[in-house]
Amino acid sequence: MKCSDKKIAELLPWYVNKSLSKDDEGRVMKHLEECPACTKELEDLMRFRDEIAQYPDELFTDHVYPEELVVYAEARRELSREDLARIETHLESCSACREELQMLQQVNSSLEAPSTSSLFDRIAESAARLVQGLFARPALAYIAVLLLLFPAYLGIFKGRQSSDPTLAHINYDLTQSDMRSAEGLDNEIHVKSSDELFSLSFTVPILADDQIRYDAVILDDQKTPVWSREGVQSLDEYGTFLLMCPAEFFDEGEYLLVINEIDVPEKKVQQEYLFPFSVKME
Amino acid sequence: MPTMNRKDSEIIAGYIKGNAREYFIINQWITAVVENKYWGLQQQWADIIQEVRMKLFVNFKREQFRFSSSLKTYVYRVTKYTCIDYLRKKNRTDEVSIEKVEIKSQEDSFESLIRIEQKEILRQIFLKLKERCRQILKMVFLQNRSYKEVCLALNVAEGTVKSRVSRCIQDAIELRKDFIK
Repeated sequence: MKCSDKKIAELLPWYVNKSLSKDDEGRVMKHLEECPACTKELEDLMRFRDEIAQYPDELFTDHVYPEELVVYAEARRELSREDLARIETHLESCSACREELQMLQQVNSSLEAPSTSSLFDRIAESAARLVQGLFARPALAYIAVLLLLFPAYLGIFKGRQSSDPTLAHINYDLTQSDMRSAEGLDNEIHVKSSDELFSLSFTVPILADDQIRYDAVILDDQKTPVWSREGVQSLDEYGTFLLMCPAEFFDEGEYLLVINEIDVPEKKVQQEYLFPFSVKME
Repeated sequence: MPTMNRKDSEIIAGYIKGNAREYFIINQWITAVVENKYWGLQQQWADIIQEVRMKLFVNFKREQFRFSSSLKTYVYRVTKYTCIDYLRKKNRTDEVSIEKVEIKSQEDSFESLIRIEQKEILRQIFLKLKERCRQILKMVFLQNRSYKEVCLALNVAEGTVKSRVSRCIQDAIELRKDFIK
């Protein structure tokens, strides 16, 4: 639905920013009383204005948008010719953006640094090149190298186990009872020194057809908050949701996890769960 | 349109559901960027990582992942521009009073995901708008300039300014409606 009076509709942005003359303002106000289309458009404009006013520095930056700078640093072909020209012109005159670009390039180099292969792989590769010269077919050369080196691998390298990422984990299954607290359940978590995270998951007796908003805090035995997070979780088909906790914040000891399930429309705590657990370091 | 590879789609699906394995994979990618020595943002690592996790959650739910790059590249990019945001904030807030910092920390915590979602939507709208349109929105809604002042700034006739501004704002609001759907 559009307004038939285009001249008035075009004044709405300036009605919102209160820069119209008294006469124009009066005309707009009179028109709004009888035009639902313009009233709706005014509401959209005011909502939009209120939203963008919350992030002036990010949205109206005088510098290159961070997203564009990242793309410029690593995939310029994704930028339009116009955007590329604008960014390059800006970079010529802005030392702050140039520094950020340089930092991005250093980070990218650091991320792309090749990982060193294992000692066994390097020896096998060098030996294969050497033997390749002796055998007519490269495949035979590799097989020969592996057969020669296999006993060495067993003797020297067997002790090194490659480890897939694993997580110390507790699952609290509350589907069999109405308990909000997991006291009495097996709640000891063993964290290795190499672990960066451990996880706590909960299978709860609620309908798993939506997300829940939660507010979680972990207290130590002095009731001091050690870690807290809030957010939204999607439940899987069993009503399970998950918290990932950084291991570096925890020492050996007793902790209490408090989870508040938030009812968003009412903006209040709908349900509180208490989960004591202990951390053992290995 | 290029399609997402199966592994990436499985990681996204698992991440949205909160599966430990997918969460761990993505967390590794985020951490690799954030804890890079070049940023100098050690005190904000935990906040940055959590903000990136939330942005990814929001963008995955809205299917904003662009299939032209791998998921890992996408996660890296979101993390990098978030780090740049924090660098800029750090430079700007050196003069912010302690009082303002305290007020922010008392913000109702469960609204932070809503704020991040809103900011992400607006950023993606502004990225899609032309530079001229962003300038217009800044003059009208941030600087509260009258249409005569905008005419002078853009060096165009009054009638042209009004229709150009109207068109620009309509583009932005239509983009916003597309994101909200």
